[in-house]
Amino acid sequence: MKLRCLAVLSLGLSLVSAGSGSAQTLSLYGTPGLVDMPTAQVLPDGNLALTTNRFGGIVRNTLAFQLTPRIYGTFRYSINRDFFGQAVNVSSVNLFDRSFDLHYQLGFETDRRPGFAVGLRDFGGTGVLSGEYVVATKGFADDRFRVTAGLGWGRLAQRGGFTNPLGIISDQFETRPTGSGGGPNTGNIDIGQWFRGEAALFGGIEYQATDRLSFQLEYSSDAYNLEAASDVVEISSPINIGLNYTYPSGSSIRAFLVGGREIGFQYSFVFDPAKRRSPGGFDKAPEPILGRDVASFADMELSDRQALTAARKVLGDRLTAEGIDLEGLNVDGGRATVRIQNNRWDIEAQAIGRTARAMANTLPSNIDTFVIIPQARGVANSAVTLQRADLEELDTNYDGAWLSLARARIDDAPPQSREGEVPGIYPKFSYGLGPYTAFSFFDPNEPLRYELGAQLSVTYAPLPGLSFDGLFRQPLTGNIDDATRQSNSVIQRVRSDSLLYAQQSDFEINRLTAEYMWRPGEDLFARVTGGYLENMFAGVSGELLWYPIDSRLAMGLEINYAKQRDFDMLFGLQDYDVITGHASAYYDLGKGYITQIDAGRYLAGDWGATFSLDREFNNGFKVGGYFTLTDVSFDDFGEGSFDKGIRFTVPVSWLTGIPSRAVYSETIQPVLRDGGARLNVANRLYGVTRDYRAQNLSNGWGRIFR
Amino acid sequence: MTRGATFAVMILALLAACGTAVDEESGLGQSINAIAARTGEVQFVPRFAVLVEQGAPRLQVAFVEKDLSADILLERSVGAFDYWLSADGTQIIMQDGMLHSTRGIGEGLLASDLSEPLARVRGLSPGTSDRFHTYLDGNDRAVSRTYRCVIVDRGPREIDLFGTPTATRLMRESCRSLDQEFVNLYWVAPSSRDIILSRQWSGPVIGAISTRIVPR
Repeated sequence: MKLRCLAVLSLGLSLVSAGSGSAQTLSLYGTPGLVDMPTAQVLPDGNLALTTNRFGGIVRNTLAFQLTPRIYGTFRYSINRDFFGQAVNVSSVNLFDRSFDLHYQLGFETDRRPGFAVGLRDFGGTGVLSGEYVVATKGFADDRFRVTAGLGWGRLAQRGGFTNPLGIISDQFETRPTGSGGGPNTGNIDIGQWFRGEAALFGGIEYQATDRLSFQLEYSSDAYNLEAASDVVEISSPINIGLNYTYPSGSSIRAFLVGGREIGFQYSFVFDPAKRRSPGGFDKAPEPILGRDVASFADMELSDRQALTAARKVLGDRLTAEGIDLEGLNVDGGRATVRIQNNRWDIEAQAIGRTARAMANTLPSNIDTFVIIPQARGVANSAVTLQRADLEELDTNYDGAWLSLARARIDDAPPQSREGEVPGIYPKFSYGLGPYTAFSFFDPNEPLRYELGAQLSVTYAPLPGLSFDGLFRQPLTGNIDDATRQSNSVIQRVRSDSLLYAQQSDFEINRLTAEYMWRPGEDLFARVTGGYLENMFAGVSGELLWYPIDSRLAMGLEINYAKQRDFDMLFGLQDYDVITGHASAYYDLGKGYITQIDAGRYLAGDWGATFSLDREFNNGFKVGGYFTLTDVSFDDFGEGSFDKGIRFTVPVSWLTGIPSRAVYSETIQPVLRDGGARLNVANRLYGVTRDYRAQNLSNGWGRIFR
Repeated sequence: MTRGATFAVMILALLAACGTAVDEESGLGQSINAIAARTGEVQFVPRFAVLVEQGAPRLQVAFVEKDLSADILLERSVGAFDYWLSADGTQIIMQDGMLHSTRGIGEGLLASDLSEPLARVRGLSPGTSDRFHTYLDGNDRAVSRTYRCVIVDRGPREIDLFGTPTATRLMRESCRSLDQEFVNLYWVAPSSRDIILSRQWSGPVIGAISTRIVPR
């Protein structure tokens, strides 16, 4: 009965949370809105929206992410053609503009009152799109009509402006200071401008004709003053109109008329990272759990060496078929312990489940307890203890996954041992040969540059924890090295010379290192890496991580000596060297939000800290952002003022449904400069260890019987 | 390519990566390989090949809404549970002929509690019952769903089972939850109470699966 009630309750809640307040229509800013004006609506929690549109001489491309149910943020790359005309002495006649928005939903719409929201547009970019708003939206007639009214500042008060009502709080609100406006402080956050200067009203109505088709009519308080003056667009009316057609897949197309003159088109795609393309996946089915009386070694004792060796062979073969390396097997009375390395399953708990099945179908019937120790790069991480009887009982149980988790134990792994190691497993040698792609973003002459080529990765591991790794690339085609923008950095150039690396290299040694990882004590991990650590630096890197098995908090310390590499990316080194390193704190806030703070010294010798926030979906899809503030002044940093970026990781299995540990990751930095640049050493310990600690193992337990 | 268009292409490439992800029928495509496998066009997974050699019992299944069918082989019976394996390694688990769970076909049906509908259908006993399904959602969480079902006896039906007229009773199970509803049909042998033929809903991704026992 309890289960029944819980199921009904959870279903009911899911229906409510998926209800009103979710927008179908994305504005020309790629966020919930009418045509140009925002609405007090949000996307469904966690959704990502990609939008591209064009009207007049303006192209806007936007990525919007619903970070929490109330907050969405956006990153936008806009191009205004011929914005500077021919008379201005600039490198390009076009304006290339990167901008960030933030929207906070103060209240969701109810039957009696509208939804309310406040937002900032372009709060950290050139300021061309800067504007702030408060807005309210209410649906009528079964939500077929949605009426929006708002108050705008900045760009959203270019038409019909009046004295700022916030002036009753302070006279300062009545004057809007001049922003950075694309100058050297571009990227600085103009807090002093927000909600200041004249204000203006805007509003509009949306008519939802069918589930898919809607029409929008708005009065816009944005007069496009700058763009109209530059003949980028023609504006003759405050009225904008649009229509939007949404497909069930999440795609939308829309056409619109801005300012009575400019007809434009838009395509957008909204999707939920919390939904794999195939929820059940296409992985091969696990072997049924046989009765222990028919297991391969059911009636045998594994006390003698010969039997144990035979059991290792059979178990190893079973695990190999599952993409898992058996590294060790010990039997102690009724307890069997295996050490494994998972090479296939992106969800670690699924590898644990497959291993447990193989053990159940192989080991003698008198063994009741299975201990599974997942290892990464030969280093034991955690120890998962399962009872064989629970596996047999819960495999087909309706609530088997969670009952199994409740009955399992997850401890820190015992001290590293090679006892029971599968003979001949070391040394290990592996290699991979395949294509690679690299991208360079936001060069005004070519906003997207790319490189395609062949990549060889090689790993030789003579002992557990010790490995020699190489990563080599041969670019075959691309236009990254066609760029002409040279660095104008006034501080030590540690990243901004990336073009020189691209131009002066052919065959690339991207990484060539010796690495040793080990466990210095309980809850501790350590790493030392030496060699050619990354594309631009060689040196030695040492790291210590404290990460209790069931903790949300982990803390690390990393110290590196790094010397700049030659631009040809071969073996030579330049004169510049630096001691760099960070103290790091990682905290899992729960519900998929992970924070990280790294404080210390960066590659250019600057001191400061990096603040990161990632939203990690349980299926491995990640979206996050970070910013770094150091003692390099905003002026010395140059364009962008400080380092910041957004990043995402997409598991290949999320796209294909086929189990794989491969992921596609990309970090997008609006500007690549030298301040706040961190060494890109491989295999930082938090990333290597986190999947195997209790929190992440538990999060994936839904797949234990998959 | 113009500069603006270049960035747009990047966005669209991302969209394409998302939008053209392997569609949910891929698993069905894999399963249907079972048919091709019988004609030697594709390789069996080793476990299936062993079952073929052993002459394991067969079950004919079809994904009704996809118009695909395949023969799958009995890999293991444990108590009331039968584990049926396809040529490409996917699995359908039946509990006394009632669909209990699936593996590898794209549907995330982890397990079911079928005690009430099983008792009514195999007992040829009309009435109401509850069934519980646990699905793996797209975020790798096990999500439980409860369905209230009405089971009616539609009377005797003679079916053609691979050329053999077979007497059955048709039991109809209509289930609903707050946001889902489905109908399952079972043709039950009155003597043995075995489910000879069925059409059962697996979940929102794949929909209905039909099963038919293949006489040995």
